[in-house]
Amino acid sequence: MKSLGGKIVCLGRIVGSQGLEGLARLKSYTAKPEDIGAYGPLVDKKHNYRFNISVVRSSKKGVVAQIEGISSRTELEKFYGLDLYVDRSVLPELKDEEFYYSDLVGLLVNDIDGNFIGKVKSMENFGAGDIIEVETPNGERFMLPFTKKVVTEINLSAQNITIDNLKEFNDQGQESLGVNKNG
Amino acid sequence: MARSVWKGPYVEKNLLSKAEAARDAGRNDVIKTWSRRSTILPQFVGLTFGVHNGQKFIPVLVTENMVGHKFGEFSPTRHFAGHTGDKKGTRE
Repeated sequence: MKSLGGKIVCLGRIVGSQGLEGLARLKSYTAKPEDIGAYGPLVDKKHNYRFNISVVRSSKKGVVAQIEGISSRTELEKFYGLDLYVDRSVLPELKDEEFYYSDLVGLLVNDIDGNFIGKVKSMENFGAGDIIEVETPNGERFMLPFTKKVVTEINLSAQNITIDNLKEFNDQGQESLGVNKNG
Repeated sequence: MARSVWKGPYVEKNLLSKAEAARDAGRNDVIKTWSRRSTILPQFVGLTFGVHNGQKFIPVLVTENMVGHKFGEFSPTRHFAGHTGDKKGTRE
């Protein structure tokens, strides 16, 4: 099968089978696990296989889905451990100021003067808003809130972001507040 | 057992004074703290704290619906870096 072209996004993995009828157990990486089947056919990394899946149910162990053309457990066994991808262009358009994590990870990070700081290592949300993790060339990592005040510009076509107010997040800004380890 | 009401919520004294200093200065600097057990008070709303998770500081921008919770709830100590999938974030 030919490549779909463009960037691909990993949405899940085939981890096992369920029963004898060829139902697959999938590990879903989507925000809602059932959405793994919502973006059309899934492909493997090398685009050798194409899977049309329909989600049967989701449970604690993962999503149970029927893969078109697979009717027995034996047929499914050769796909165990296979990651499932979808073309980035298939994901729906987002509103203003909304970004897919997959688009942001890997972008170059510059400060407001254009100096290179590092790369976006990951995006997280621990319940207190989105957080951007930056890795510097010497391997140091630090986290910043994903706000307009800090991340002033996101240029997806140029593959870079600009961050400002970085001084507030380093130790110099803390000295004036009398930071010590008691608090 | 729940904490007695008459004691009031627990907040580290130093953290309270640092938050007041930051608010008075109007700078909205990140306030680094190791006190994960401190309760989030209404006067912390709008401030950004860096809550230590044993390894690094996780930025926590306090909003109204976080009042009453502890800082540690927003700074996990165990972390699995999963796949991004179709997850999306909003720049506020």
